[in-house]
Amino acid sequence: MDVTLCAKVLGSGLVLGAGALAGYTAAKATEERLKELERLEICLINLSTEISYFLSPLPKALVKAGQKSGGEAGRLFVEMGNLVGMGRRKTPDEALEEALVSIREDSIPRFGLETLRDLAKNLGGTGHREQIRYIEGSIERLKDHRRLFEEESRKKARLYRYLGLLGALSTVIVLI
Amino acid sequence: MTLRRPAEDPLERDILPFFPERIRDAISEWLARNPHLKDTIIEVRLRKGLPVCIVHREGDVLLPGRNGQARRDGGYLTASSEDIERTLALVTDCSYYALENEFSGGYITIPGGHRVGLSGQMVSWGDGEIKLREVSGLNFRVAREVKGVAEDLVPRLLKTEDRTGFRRIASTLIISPPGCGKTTLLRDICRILGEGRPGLSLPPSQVGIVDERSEIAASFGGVPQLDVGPRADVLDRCPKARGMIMLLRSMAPRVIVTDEIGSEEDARAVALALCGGVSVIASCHGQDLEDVRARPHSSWLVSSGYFEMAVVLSRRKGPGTIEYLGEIW
Repeated sequence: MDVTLCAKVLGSGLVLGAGALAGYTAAKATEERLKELERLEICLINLSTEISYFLSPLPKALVKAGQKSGGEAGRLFVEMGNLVGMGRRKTPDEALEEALVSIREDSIPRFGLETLRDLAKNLGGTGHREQIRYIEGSIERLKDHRRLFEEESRKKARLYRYLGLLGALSTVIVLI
Repeated sequence: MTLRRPAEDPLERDILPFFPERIRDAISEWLARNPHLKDTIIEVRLRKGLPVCIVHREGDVLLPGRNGQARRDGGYLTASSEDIERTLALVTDCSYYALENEFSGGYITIPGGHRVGLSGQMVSWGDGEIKLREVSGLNFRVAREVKGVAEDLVPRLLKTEDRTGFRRIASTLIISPPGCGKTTLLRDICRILGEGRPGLSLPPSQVGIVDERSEIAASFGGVPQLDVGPRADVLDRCPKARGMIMLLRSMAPRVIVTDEIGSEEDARAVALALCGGVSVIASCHGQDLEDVRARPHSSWLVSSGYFEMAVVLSRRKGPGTIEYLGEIW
């Protein structure tokens, strides 16, 4: 076989592979962000349980809720729990801002963080019924956002996969 | 959660870290200028919009503002609304919901056994419950242990059992007006009984403490912050009557210690414990034995012979002055 043809086939394969991988990676990241949102919801449900049934102090409640959920959202809760309260003398909103540094940037969608920031302003400062109401309100808000985000991110994931492959294909055509 | 602390100045170790930086610095500066008053500080008060106040044994002082910082009210350092809110959030471990019952009692206990009194706007609920809606004042009361105050007293309260021959502490009622050292004395008795005193032929005893107001052991998270001895089981913030019965049923104490008995229910629980063969050391408010006899519930306990000994305290020569120590006649 002609060496030039061989090189072209190999190069095209590589370009196609790279494009597909790039598309797949972008799609995976989008799906991962959706998963983090689900974990964030689970964290909040766990937090609500810790507060309503066990009346656990906020630092302990956050750590336990985070440990049970896992992922970046779980890590955020654990870190926040380590910072908040008597131990490190941080209020919930200060602890959240500091904890955000420790997780992967953009791992949680912006509206998820906004919901969490709004909740942090009210965490720990009221009676337990009000705390549960705040947390449940945040869970509802997250659920509503997630439904929209879910559809959007599925479309985006599909688009990224196609785009990666098609982009690579068009590059191959142009180069050949 | 913190267990017992090493010996240091309790104000600097346990209380100052909760304050906002400018207040903390101002207090530290004042302490540096007045080292002779350091060990005499009883309270630090923060009031919304008013000067920070330090209460010591010889009086009180409004904290002067520091150069370069906002000064109001004639140069005094004032606590702002944010200062109170932030301090409150930290002393509650950002967990107000977990301390709702303590809040309705008007104070919370922090690590080190110090108490934070709360004042502000109250709100009354339909069920008769009163809650603090808006906290506008915080009073940090410094807990200082006075160990050894009961060392001379305990030997005089010992009785020898006729049948077994071992020594036990007599059921004792400690009577005094507020601020005369009843609780300090009770705490030290707990410690001594838990440790035992071989020199007095007093074996170590399991001590049950019903600490309804969290004053004897000053527990934080269920862990005594003040030294109540190595054999103490504490029921923190538990109603006295119910607590004494719980201890009797579940912890098999040799001695039950409780503070400020006053109601009929308390008196019945004390009688029950005494009939169960347990010694009870309790305190109650009053000027002297006659004062206690004049009250319906405590009178019944005193005259029925449930308590064997009485100790009457006053402040005549300083807190803890023993005015009477002897059998209840």
